[in-house]
Amino acid sequence: MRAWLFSLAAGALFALAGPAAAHAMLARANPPVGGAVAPAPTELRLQFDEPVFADMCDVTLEDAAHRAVPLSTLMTGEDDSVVVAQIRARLSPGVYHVRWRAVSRDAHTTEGAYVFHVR
Amino acid sequence: MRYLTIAASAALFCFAAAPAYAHGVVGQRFFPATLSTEDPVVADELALPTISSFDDETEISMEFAKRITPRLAVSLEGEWTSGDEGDGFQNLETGIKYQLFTSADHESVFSIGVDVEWGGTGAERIGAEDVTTIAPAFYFGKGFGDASPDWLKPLAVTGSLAYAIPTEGHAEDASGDAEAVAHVASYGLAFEYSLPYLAANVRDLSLPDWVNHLTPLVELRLDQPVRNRGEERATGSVNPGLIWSGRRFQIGAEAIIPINDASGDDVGFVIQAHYYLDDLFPRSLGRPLFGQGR
Repeated sequence: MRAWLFSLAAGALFALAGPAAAHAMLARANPPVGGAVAPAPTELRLQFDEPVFADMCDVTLEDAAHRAVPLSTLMTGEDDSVVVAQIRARLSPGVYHVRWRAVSRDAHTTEGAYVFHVR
Repeated sequence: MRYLTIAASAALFCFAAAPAYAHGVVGQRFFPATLSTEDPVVADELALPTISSFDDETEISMEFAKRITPRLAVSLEGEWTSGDEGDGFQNLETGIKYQLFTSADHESVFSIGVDVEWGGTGAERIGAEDVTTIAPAFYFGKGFGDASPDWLKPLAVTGSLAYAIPTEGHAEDASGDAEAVAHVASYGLAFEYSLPYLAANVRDLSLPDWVNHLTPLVELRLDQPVRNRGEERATGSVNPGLIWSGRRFQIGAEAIIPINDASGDDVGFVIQAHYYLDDLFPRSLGRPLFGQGR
């Protein structure tokens, strides 16, 4: 019984530990991961599950032939977990590749990639 | 002098600045900590508690792992057992693991290690042997993010192979009789289908947020006595389950299905709470003692 109580108490202690930050993982994106959109989007919006430093993050956009599509400087969105980049070209129908690298508030780095389609 | 040079070279090798990926992040892949088999990634982590119930025996255990360098970690494990033969602690176990190879592009990782079960530190009445066992091991992990078709990309496989060598051929059991202590080869495999990977890298199916944190998995364990085995037979289990991984911790549950009658009679279960110390304590306990983590 004592072992159970000890385990629960220790578990609760760690669950409540703070302040802490964590690796930022992509929670939602617009255009959506693997999705198809029309009309062509004019911005990329990445929402992470942790606040990130927008100025230390990196996002690139490439077309199906892996030619870079120009983006604006990354900006913080409605909160610190959202980064936004304006797409500075008109996207024609096809497949587009997004690559991102995020730096969370504790300086942990994460990365990812996905595609979306413009109909 | 020669030994000094070798030692210095080994130290430099271990301490050399190299990409380190905390609690299972390798490129785009996150390998959650598996419940029943050893995962391949070096991390600052705490599994507390792991509770299993199987064949009229309940076990409560904890494991703490600490990175010494970004690629080298040591671990300490203790387990308390309650069953028909009474209650008590099993032998203390320690381990050391080195993440030898990491490929972010190929979501691959390969590690080597040595685990030691310290004989005589546990209670004999519950079967803790008085013989120390040393088990060299290797571990691997591979994500299928570079695979085609898309539905295969969230899949990952991790595995381990260890060979436990007792320091003595015989041990005394609880009644004082000598019994053979076998060399045991232990195999572990885990097949994981990562819904976080699916949502973030392949296709967002607009599932509820909590679902996007789930990883269904099946773990396979097999312990095969190899030498000095006496009457011992191979034992193992198939463990299907689920892991929910959050930002600071994960929780998991699995069924334990024995593979033969030597492994057990009934289906059991294991549950675990597992904490990512690098995220809970990024500036203290969650950092490697030497070198830069990330």
